[in-house]
Amino acid sequence: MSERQPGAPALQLRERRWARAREFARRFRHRPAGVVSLAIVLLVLVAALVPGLLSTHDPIALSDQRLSPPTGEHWFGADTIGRDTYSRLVHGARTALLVGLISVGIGVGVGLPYGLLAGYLGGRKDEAMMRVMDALYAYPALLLALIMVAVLGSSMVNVMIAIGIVFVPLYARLVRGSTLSAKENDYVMAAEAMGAATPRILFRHIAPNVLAPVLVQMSLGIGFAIIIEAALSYLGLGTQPPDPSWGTMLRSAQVYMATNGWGAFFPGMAIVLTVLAFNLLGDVLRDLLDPRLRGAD
Amino acid sequence: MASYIARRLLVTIPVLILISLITFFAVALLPGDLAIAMLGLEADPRHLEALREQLGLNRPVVVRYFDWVGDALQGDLGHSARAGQEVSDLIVKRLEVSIELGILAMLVALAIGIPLGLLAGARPNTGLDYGGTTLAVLGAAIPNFWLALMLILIFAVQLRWFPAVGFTSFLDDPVQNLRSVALPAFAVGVTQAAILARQTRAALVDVLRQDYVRTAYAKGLRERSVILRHAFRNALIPVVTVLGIQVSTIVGGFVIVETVFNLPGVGKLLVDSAFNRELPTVQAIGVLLAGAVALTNLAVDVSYAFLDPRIRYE
Repeated sequence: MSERQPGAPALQLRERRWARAREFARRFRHRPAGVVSLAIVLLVLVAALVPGLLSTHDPIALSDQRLSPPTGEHWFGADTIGRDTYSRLVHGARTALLVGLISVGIGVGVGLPYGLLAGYLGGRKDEAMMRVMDALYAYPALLLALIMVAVLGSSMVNVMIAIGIVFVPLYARLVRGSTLSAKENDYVMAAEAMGAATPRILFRHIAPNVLAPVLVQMSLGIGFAIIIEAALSYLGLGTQPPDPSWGTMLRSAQVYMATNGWGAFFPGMAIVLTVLAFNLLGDVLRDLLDPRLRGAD
Repeated sequence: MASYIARRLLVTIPVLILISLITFFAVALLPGDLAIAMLGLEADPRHLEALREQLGLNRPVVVRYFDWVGDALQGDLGHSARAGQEVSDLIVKRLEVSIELGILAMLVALAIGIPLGLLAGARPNTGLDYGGTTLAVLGAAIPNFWLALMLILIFAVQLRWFPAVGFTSFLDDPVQNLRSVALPAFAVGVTQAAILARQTRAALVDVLRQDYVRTAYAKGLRERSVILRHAFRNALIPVVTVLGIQVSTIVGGFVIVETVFNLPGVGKLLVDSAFNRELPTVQAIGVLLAGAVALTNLAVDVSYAFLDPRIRYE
C-alpha cells in the first residue's frame, strides 16, 4: 500500500530497507565461512562469465605434452591429447554454474507457485496436490534425473530440465509449509476481506514472507545440481563434448588414471570446492535469515 | 500401535501408485515417436513397426498403463530387445550385487557416522566436535563417484590392496567378494556417514539438555551409561528419519558407483539401458528402485513405533 503514496512514508520504507540490508551485510562480514565461500562463488562466476580472464591456454588447443603432470607450463597438467587441464576447468565453470542456476530456477519457478497454492487452498486440494509431490520426492534424485535424461536424450539442456524436475517437490514442500503459517497472518486476512484476487494474495502478500528459506535452499540446490550434472556427464548422459564439463573431464581422465592420476584429481577438486562454497553460503544465509538465531552473533 | 502401522501402510499405497504413474508417463508422454527415440531416425520402418506393436504404442495410453501395471504385478516387466532377455531376468541376476553393496554401504555409514556423531555431541564445541563437523561438511560436498575414483587411484592402482574393477560372487569366494565390494561400499557409505554424524550430533546435543538426563547424572550414573543407555535411544529418532532419507541417496549412489567399478548390478544395468535408450528396462528399474525406497521409508515409520513410546501408546 505505502509504495503507492508519494512522499514521506515511501521514503521511510526505503530507508528502513536500506538499514536492514546494511545490517545484514555487517553481520555477514563477521562470518568467515560466509566470506570465504562468497569469494569462491564469485571466482566461479568470473570463470563462467569471462573465462579468458582466468585461463592460461585455449581449452581445446592440442599440444605434444600429453598426460603431463602439473608443471610451470600446465599448472594442473594436460590430458590425453595435450589440452591444458586448468584452462579446461576454468571453461567448465560455465556449464556447472549454468546448470546449477537454471535447474534451480526451474525448481523454484514451478515449485514456488505450486507450494503457495497448495498451502493457501488447504484441505483436500492441498492433500491431493502434496501427495503428487511426495511421490516425486520419494524418487531418488539421481534416479529420476537419469530416467528423464534417458527419455529426453543426452544434452546440457535436458540435464537442466531433468534436475529442475527433481527440484520441484523440494521447493513445493518447503513453500507449502511456510505458506500454512504465513496465511494465518492478519494482513492476509485483511487482503482477503478487501477482495484481493488469489494471485495477488499469493505473490504480493504471502510469497515475500516465505522467500528466506527458499533462498537458503537455492544456494544448497545449486551445489546439489552441480554434483548431479557432473554425475550424469561422468556417465556420458549429460553434457556432451565439445562443451567442457567437469563431469566429462572425469570420465575421460578415468581411462588414463593409471598413468596420470592428476587428470581425475583436479576436476573433482573443482566440484568439491564449488559445492562446498554453495553449501556453506547456504548455511550462513540460514543462520542470518532465521529470526530465532538473529542476534546470536 | 496397530492402527498407527495400518495408517502408514494406507498412506504408502497411493505413493506407490503415483510412483508407477510418474515412471510410466515420463516415458509414455515423450514428445514424438517412442519407437524412433529407441531405435533412431534411420531405423528400418519394419523394425519400427514391430517395436510399436511390441510396446503396444498403437493402443490408448491409459490402456497401456493398466496393462503395464498388471503385467508388472505378475512379474512381467517387459522384454529387452538388445539383451534378448526378459527384463525381470536381467534384474534378478543383478540384484545380488546391488543388495550386497546397499547393505554394506549402510553398515559403513552407521559404523562411522554414529560413533563420530556421539563423540562430537558428547563434547560440543571442542576440537573433537569441530573436527567431526568439518569432516561432515566436507563429506556432503564430495561426489561419491569422484571419491570412488580417488579410492581406485590410491588403493587399487598405487597400493594394489583391492581390485580396481569387477565383482566376485560371495558364493564363489567370500574373501575375494569382500575385497571386490569394499571400495565401492566405502565410497557410497562414507558420504552418508558424514550426514549421519551431523544428525547424530545435533540430536544428542538436544537430548542431553533434557531433565531426565540431568536426573540420570544426579543419580550418580557414569557419563558412558547416561549417554549410551538414556540419551542415545531418544537421540535415535531423528537419526532414523535421516537414515530413511539416506536409503534414497544410497540407491542413487550405487547406481553411479557400480558404473565406476564396473560391478554387474542393477545400477549399472540402469545406466547401460539409459545409454542405449532401452526405455522399458529403464522404466522397470526406475519403478523397482523408487518402490523399494518408498517401502524402506514405510519400515522407518514403523520403527518409530518401537523407538518412541508416545507413538506406541497413542
